[in-house]
Amino acid sequence: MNPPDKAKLLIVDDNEGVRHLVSRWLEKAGFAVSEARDGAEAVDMVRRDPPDLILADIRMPKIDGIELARIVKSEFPDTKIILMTAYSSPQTIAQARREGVDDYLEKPFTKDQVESIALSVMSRE
Amino acid sequence: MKKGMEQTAGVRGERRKPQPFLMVLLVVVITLLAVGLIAVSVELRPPYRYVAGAGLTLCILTLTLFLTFEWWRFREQNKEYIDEITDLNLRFGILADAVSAVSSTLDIEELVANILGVMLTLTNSKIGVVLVPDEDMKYLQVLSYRGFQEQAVRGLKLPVDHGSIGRAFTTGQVIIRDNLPLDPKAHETYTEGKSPRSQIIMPLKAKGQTVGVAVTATCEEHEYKPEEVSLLSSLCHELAVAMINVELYQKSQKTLEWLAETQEYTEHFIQEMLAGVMVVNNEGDVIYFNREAGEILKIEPKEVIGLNYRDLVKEREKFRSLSFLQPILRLSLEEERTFRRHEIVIEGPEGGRMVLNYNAFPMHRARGEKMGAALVFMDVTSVKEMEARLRQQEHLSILGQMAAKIAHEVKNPLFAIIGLAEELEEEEQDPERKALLSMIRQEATLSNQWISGMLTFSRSPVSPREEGWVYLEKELPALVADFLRVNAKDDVKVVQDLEDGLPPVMLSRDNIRHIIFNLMENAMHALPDGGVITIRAHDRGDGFVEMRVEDTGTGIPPEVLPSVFQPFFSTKDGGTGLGLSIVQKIVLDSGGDVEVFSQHNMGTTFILKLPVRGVSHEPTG
Repeated sequence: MNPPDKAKLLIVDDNEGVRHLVSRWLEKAGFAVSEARDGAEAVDMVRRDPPDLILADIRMPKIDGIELARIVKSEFPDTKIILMTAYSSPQTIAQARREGVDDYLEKPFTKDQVESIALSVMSRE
Repeated sequence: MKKGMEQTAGVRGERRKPQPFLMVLLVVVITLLAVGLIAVSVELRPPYRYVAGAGLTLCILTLTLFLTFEWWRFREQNKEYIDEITDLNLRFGILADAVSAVSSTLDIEELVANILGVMLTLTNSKIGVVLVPDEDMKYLQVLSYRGFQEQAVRGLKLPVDHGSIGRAFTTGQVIIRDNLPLDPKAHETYTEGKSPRSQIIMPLKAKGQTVGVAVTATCEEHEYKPEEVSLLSSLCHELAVAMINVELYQKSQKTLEWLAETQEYTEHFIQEMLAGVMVVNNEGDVIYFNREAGEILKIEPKEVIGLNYRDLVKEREKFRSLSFLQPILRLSLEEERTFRRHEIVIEGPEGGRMVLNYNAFPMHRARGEKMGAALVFMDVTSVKEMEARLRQQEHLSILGQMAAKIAHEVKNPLFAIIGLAEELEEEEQDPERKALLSMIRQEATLSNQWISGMLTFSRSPVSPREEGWVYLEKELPALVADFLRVNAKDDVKVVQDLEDGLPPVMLSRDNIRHIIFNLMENAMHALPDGGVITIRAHDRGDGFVEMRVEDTGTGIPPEVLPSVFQPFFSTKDGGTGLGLSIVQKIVLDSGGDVEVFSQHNMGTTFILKLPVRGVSHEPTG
């Protein structure tokens, strides 16, 4: 399965290695990937050109993943969002769900896992 | 006397004097007559003898007449005395009755009514009343009455500083009132409807205090004789003494009742208090040992009471725990030492370590003399254990926070390292370089596992509601199959024995997965030469499902067994030492419990008590 005609994907993570790795995987999977270093930069980029899907880390300086999800979902309800986390409590996950986050991924994940979740989220109405 | 005049009673009337001259006269006359008769018969001859005889006879006749008259006059005079003596006799009889009435009852109203009756009889009165002061000594109230209509005296209050009755009470003097004015409302006040004419008001005095006033009144003019007044005064004195005694008796009775009640309260309170209480007297004999003391030390109170605290161990081996308290009691009893909030660790009645908090102190009477010593103690073993556990948890929590922070900062780069190394490994053609990249990936993966384990362990407990629940019947077979897909060994047989219809337990799928994978991995590790792993689960019926994971393996050495749940403890090469700690943490956080039993070369059994959904549980951890 391929993303519908080069779906636009934004990767937000303050760790460059993670950003680089996940962009690489998802570019291979057929997404048009752009990157943001933190939540604030991501909000600017989304407002300029809203993507179809955002993959964001939960723990980030300034604007964290959950705050980003809240802003994006209120301004661009059609944009899907998946949160990534290296460590999170069930409470955090529950809060993310309340903010309308479409799915979440626990680091480390594999190329196949991120690809299948991204595609499954994109296929949802 | 003038109308309405009153007087203070004094001594009145004349005294009767004896009349000895009559007796002397009689003796002289009889002597003269005797001498005359002798002279006549010896000296005179007829006819002088006859003349003298006739003269003497005349004299004797005259004397006889005189004596008869005197005798009659005497009788008339004595009659009055006899009547008076008879009357006095009667009155003293009444007084004796009154005294016996005083000593026969302790009911003040009955006593006063009896005496009032006697007073009325004595004064020949039909109206009488006894009044006593109220608590503030401002008013006199009716205690007993005769001859009054009830409504006339009910609630009657006479000020002590007003009227004759008030004055008699305050001055302590007897007041007699004559020619009382006619009461126009006599028919409303008195039962006979007649207005009193004379009245005597007597204070009830004894032991230097005036306790009331007695009043009797007659509807005719009545002259109060001194004897009568003196008798009434004695009677009033007796009544006052009796009233004071009755009051004292009633007070002491009340004090006794209060003491008995207080003792009952104290007894009850001490019996039911959540602390052990042991009291010894000056000789060291146990005189008190409450129920809680018995509960704590597993001794029946009645077995200890009466024994000397020094002989307890000699008496019975079961008093061993109690004997640890001997030195404290000795110091309090013999050296009068006081201990407040001290702590002692003793060997408990069931052998284990027992921590007691205690107060011990010598006991003194109000006058200061020593009466024994008391020991009050509480079993705080579980509190101490909980404190220790809390301290450990606090410690772990700080450790956990640190670990979480470090781990978070390390996991992201590790993830990038693993992923990027994998990417390069896939693209690399040179086998040597490919192997090196694989090593990077594997080492980073191992580090990541370590950190993930620590993170799970440091995670703060979450309420089971947030974690969800699982049906073991459904989940266990799937998880076991998952585990075996990668870890199955030909010589290891896995058996599942799950009761039908198990209720859901308060664990998330992730958690039950962690538990099963960890316990099965350990079991596999303990079966290098093969064997059987059995997973059982049944409903205990007390809100918990019991799950057992048993193996027939090498067993855990006894010296290692107590440490298996300790974090970072591992006997396996490359083990993180967190697997079982996490299992224990998950189970304790859910409100359950986990235990392990093992025997060398016989195998190991983990028993997990998992709380059932919908039943209220307190976390045991």
